[in-house]
Amino acid sequence: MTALAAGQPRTRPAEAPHRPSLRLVATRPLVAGRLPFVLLVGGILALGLIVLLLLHTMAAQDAFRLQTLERAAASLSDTRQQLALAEQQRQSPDALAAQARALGMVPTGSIAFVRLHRHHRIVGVVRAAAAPPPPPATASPAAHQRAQQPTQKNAHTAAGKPVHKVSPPHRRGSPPPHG
Amino acid sequence: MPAAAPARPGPRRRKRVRRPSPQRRIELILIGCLVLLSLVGGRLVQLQGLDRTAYAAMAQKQRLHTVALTAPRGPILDRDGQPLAETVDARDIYADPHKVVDAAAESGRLAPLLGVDAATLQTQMQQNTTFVYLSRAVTPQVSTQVIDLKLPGIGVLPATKRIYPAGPLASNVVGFANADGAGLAGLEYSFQKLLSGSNGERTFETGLSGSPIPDGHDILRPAVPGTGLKLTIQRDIQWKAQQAITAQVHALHADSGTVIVMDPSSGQLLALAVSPGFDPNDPSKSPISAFGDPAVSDVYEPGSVNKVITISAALQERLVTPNSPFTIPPTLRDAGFTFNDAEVHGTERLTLTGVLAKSSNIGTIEVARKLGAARLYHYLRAYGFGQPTGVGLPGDGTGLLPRLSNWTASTLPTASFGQGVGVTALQVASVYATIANGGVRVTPNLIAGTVDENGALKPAAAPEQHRVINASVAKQVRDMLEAVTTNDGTAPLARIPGYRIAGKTGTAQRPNSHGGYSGYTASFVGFAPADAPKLLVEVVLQNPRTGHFGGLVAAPVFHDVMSFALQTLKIPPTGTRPPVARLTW
Repeated sequence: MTALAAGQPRTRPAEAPHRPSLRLVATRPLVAGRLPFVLLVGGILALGLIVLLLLHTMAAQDAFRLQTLERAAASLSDTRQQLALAEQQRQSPDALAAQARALGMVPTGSIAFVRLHRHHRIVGVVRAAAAPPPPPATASPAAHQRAQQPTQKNAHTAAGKPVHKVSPPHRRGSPPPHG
Repeated sequence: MPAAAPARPGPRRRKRVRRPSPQRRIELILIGCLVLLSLVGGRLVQLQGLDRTAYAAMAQKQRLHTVALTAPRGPILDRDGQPLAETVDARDIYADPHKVVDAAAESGRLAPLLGVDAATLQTQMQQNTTFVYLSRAVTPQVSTQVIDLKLPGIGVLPATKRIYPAGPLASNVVGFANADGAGLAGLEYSFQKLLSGSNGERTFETGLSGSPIPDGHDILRPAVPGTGLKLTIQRDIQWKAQQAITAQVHALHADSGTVIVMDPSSGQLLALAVSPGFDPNDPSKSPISAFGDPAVSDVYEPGSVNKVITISAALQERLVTPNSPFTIPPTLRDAGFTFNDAEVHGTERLTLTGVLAKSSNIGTIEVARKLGAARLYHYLRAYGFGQPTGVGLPGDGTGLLPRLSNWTASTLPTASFGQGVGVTALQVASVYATIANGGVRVTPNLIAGTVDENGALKPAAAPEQHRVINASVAKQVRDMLEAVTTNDGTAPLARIPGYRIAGKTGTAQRPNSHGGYSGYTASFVGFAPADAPKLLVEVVLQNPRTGHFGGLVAAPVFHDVMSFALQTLKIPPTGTRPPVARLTW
């Protein structure tokens, strides 16, 4: 059919020059259009293949990356847990008490509150805390008392004036007998 | 084929030539080919048609990989959200003994990392099996070191580990769970179902390297994380209580000790400390007997702390007033027994307040006689004796309260001052909480609520409550109990300067397994401030060897724990004056 279409126009112009050259024009692009079309389809196919390949490669790469990152995240999460645990252990009451003792702190022997909303009164009994027990190596009674003396003075100075402003019913070192 | 039929005579005709015709040869080849083709076709139908599912499944099985997703166990938190038990990621180290090349060398290198004896490891690696755990729930750091050794036949599996960041703190309450996530003691045991959640799994296709194939088969059934528990326990107060009772148990060479700190108005337990305790991070070091919670499971005879029930019942029934006079003889005979008081005395003239403050057995028996067995039994029940406290811990005991029909003549006088009936420490605490709370008994509770994975709190149902005595009677009893901590009472050591403290000592004989008595139970239970109670502390010491009076051995512990708790919760003194109590007449 292609050969026929190509052959016919060559003989006709002599016989009928007035004939429009529509066929000629119409058929030529058909012949020429084949290659681009094939190329186009082939190109699209090739491009599709390449894109598909790329996408798969990327997906695979992402999977690998995901795995690596997941491992890293797991490792970081392990570290975080380890640190949180260490922090919790340091925060535990036992560890805090040990730290406080190491700093030379002692538990208070009395409880007092400053009442802020009414008369700025101190409620409760303010008393200096007892000195921390001296290290066992120098634990003679005399040394113990000498060690205790300055600490008590310090505590009084620290507590300052309020010691004398203790609310009347409770102003003493030892409580009165109830009833 | 039909075309071949007329050709058959052909070969017969040329038999003598003994050469098959080309046509015949082609036919034979064709038949052979067809047979072969049909074989191949048949096999194809067999593989693709008949056995298809089986082979497809086999192929997929090669690629499919199933990973178990362990549900994280819910945490147990204190009232401020500080963790008492939580779950962290860990690794299990296992061996495939068939793949182990040199057990001796490998165990030698693993032993220091895993902290297990090399000989033990070697025996495990030489077992005739394909899987054996070498060490469970090791830290990720250790597992990394194990992986770095690249030992043949040694592998690592993801796991979780239950840890108790505060160590022995509240271990009697929290309990512990094993490596398989099964709670074995305490709340870990009683709330196992809630805490454990349910495991999930992920099934997916993997490539040769083990990484998932994108767009492959991937089915995820997520794990449902366990629900957490928020307790009413306050960590610092719990620590102080545990420290104080442990020190006293050691100092007095007592068998055991218990401290309960409670908010009387809500019934919430702020501390439930026992000694000796155990370390839940390494429970194998402690005997099984240490895993219970004696505060709710140990039954003992309460002794004088029980007198408050007898006396409050008599006040409620309007049989006596705080100033009612009682004449206390040195001894009293009742139901064939001779009763006397802890201290030898002549005939005393005590008011009802005096009877309680001086803890007179004889005076209490006189009150009980006015009350009668039926009414005493009613009040003992109303205060919670003879039934579980409902606190939610395993082993929540009922105590030993004989049914009224089984009471003998001696039950009334002995039960009135706390012998012959068995109670748990928590039951006694609940009695005093009732008085502190104006006569309304609130069921002691330990669980503030449940916490989901995002940390949202779902508060627990409000505890049950019922009125036992009138508010006015409760106030009378509170005033009387305040006299106990005066210099004339039995427990001046319980006083805290600046605060009004009400309480009661208990010194009871301990029943032994031979049906008699040996040793003592020393206790003190009190609350502060006496006129507006915010906190209740109970101290019980079992079988102290040096000293046994509750006012001398238990009251100092009460003082320390109560002082600490008042400071921690910032409860100021009320600043009121205690009433002047008349102990004698």
